[in-house]
Amino acid sequence: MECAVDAQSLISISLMKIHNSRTQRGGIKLHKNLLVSYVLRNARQVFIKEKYAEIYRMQQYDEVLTVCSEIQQLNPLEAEEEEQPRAACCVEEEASAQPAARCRTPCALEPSSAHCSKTTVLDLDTHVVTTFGSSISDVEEVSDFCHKRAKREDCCFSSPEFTDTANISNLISIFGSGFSGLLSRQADLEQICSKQALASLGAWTRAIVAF
Amino acid sequence: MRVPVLHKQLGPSHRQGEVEKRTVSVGSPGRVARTLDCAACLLSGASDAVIIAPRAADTEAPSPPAPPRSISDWLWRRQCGCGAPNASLFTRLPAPEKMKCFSRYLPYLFRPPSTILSSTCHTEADIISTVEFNSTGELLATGDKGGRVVVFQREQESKTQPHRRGEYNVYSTFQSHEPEFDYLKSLEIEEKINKIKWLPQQNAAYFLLSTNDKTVKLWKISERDKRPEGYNLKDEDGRIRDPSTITSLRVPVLQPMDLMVEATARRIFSNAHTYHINSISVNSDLQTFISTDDLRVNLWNLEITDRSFNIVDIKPANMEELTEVITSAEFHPQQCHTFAYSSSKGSIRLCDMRLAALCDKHCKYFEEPEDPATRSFFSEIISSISDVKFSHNGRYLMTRDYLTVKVWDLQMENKPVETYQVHDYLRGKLCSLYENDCIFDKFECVWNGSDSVIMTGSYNNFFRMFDRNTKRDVTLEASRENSKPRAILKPRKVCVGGKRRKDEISVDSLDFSKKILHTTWHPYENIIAVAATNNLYIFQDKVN
Repeated sequence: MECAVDAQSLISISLMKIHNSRTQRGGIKLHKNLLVSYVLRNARQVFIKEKYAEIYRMQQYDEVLTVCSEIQQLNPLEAEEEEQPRAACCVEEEASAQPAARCRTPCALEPSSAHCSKTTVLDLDTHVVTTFGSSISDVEEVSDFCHKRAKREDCCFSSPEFTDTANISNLISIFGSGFSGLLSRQADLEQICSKQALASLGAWTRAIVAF
Repeated sequence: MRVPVLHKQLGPSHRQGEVEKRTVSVGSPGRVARTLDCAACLLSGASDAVIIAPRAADTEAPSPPAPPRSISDWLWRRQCGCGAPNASLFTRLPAPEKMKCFSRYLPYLFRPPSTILSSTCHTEADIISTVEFNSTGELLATGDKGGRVVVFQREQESKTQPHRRGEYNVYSTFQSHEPEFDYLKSLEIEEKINKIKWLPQQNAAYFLLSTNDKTVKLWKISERDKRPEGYNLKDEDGRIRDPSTITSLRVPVLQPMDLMVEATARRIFSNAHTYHINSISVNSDLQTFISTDDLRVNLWNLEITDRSFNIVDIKPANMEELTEVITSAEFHPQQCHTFAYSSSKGSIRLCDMRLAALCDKHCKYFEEPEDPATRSFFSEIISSISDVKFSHNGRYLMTRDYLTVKVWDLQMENKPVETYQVHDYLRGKLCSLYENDCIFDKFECVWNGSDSVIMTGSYNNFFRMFDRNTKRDVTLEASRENSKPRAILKPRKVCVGGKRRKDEISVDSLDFSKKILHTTWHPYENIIAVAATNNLYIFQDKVN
C-alpha cells in the first residue's frame, strides 16, 4: 500500500474521522462510526502486539544485562556504564507492568489517584439521561470497570490537546475499555488495559460517546 | 407550446397525520423532446442536458421477458436533430445561458436563477441518490440529495414515428422532503432521498414511497387534463363576478386543458425511527411495507400513519456491546410473510413473520466464513453488505459488499452459490480508500428481468455486468466524452499491473470521485438506468 499502513497513523486517522462525524450534517452515522471503531480496534491490537513484543525484547535484553552485570561485578569500572541501560530498562519494565501502548505518556506513570470520573449518557430511544460515577482508587472496581456499563459523554474534541499524540494514546486506552463487545476475549490484556486506562483517567475523563 | 408555470404551495411543516399539498405543473409530457431546438447546441457539446431519444430498430410491441441478449450489445446513440437515438442522458443543472434550450423540461424551474451553477460543476443537492423503475417499466423515478424526486415516463409508441419508441421524458418533478431540525436531539435531518419504491398501479394514478433518514412519504402522481369552466360566481380569471351582472345560471362543464401532472403527499409515516432509515420495501400483499434503520425494522400499513409495528430490533441493552447494524432489508417477492435483512458483518437473515411478532430469531442465516488469508485492518469494512436483493423468481438472494457481489441460494446457508469480483484490484488500495472515505461507499446491485444478468457499479463511472449463465462479464463506462453518435458502448478494462495496453486504464488513474452507486434495470426489457453523480444515463440494448 502506498499510504502509511502503520497502526499508529491508522489510529489517528480513525479518531479524526470519529471527531469529524460529530459535525457532519445529518447527525452521527452509527454504521460508519461502528466500522471506524473496528479499524481502530484492529489497529490498536496490532499496536499493542508490537509494543508488547518490543517490551518483551527489552525484558530479555534486561535479563541478559543482569547476567552480564553479575559476571562483571568483579569489575567495578564497568558497573557504572551498565547502570544507565539498566535504569532505562527498569523504567520500561515498570511501564510494562501496565502494558499496552501507553508507555510514553507522562500520565501513564503517575500513580493512580483517587479520582472520581463521572460520565453521563443520553439514550436516544428512551431519552433517559444516566450518570455514572466511578472511583479508581479501588483496585477491585478497576477490574469490574470493563464490565460496568461505563458510558461516556461526547465532548471537548475542539480542545487543542486532541491532536497531541499522548492524549490520543490515552483516548485509545479509554476507548479500549469501552465498546467491550468489540474487544476480543483477551481477558488479561483487557484487565491490564483497563487499569492503565483508569490510571490516566484523571488527565482525560471524556471520550467518544457510544450514542 | 406554452411555457409551463410552476406553482409551489408551501404547506405547513410535517406534523403527524397532516398531508402537505405540493403541486407542480410541467409542460406537456411526452411532447417535450420534440421541442428540442438547436442541434448545433447539442452537437457542440455546449449543452449540459442532452436528451437523446431512443430508437427502436424493430417495431414490434414490447412483450414481457424477452430472451436474454448478449450483454456486450449495448448501443448508445446521440441524437442530432431528429436523428435515431438509442439512449437518454439527463443532466442536472445546466448553466444559465443554456437554460433557453432546455428550460422547458429540466427539473430546475423552481430554482431561482441565482443558484444555478455553471455546467462544469454541480451543487451537492443534485447528486442522484436513488433510481427505480416501476413494476411495468413505464416510469423511472430518481431521488437526489436535495430532496427532489424526478419521474420520467416512457413515451408511447406511435405508428408515425416508430424510431422514437421508448424514449424517457420528464413526467413530473416535486420536492419530496425538506431539511428538518430535530430540536430535542439538536440534529439536522437531511432531506436526501435514500430510497424510492413504486407501488403497482391500481388506478389511473401512480403511487410511490420515498424516504429520507427519518420519514417515509407516500406520493400520488396523477394527471389532470380537464378543468371545469363556466362557474357562475367567478369568471375565467378567477375574479369574483358582480352578482348583479349574473342573469342566468349555468352548469360548469369540463373542458380539456393542457396536461398537468400533479404530485400530492397522501401519507406521511414519521416518528418511528431513531436511527437513519436505509431502506424500504413494499410487501407483495400491497398493503404493508417495511422501513429499516440501523437497528430496527418497522412494519407499516399503507393506510395507517400513526402506528407501526417493530418486527426486528437488534439494539443491545448496552450500546457499548453493539457489534453489528442492519444495512438493508427486503420483502420476498412472492411470499408476503418472508423478508431478509443484511448486516454490517456480512450476514443475511431470513425471517418469517408468522413465527412470532418480534422476528429477532431468524429462520435462515446466511454467512460465508471469512478467509483468514485476506485478513487486514479493513476486513470488517469490506465485508459489510451494502445492498441485498431478492431475485425476481424468489429463489436467490444477491448481496453486494465492497469488493464482491454474491448470489445465495435460499436453500443453502453456509456459502453463496456464486461470487463475482467487481473490482478486486482495489484490495491493495484499501488504506487510501479508507483515508478518503471511499471505502464506506454503498454500492447497489440489481437483477435483470429474467435473473440471468446482474449489474453493479464501480468507480470512474464504470459499471459491471455479470452473466450468470455464460459466466461472462463486462465493464462499461457511463460518460459523454467517450461516446460518439451511433456508437456501441465499448467494454473497458482496468489494468492491474505490468504493461498497460492501449485501451486499458491503470488502477492509479481511476477517478474515485466518479462513482456509480445506483442502478436499476427495466423489469422486462434490457433498458438500464445508471446514476453517475448528477447525471442519469439510460441505455437500451441494440436490437438486431
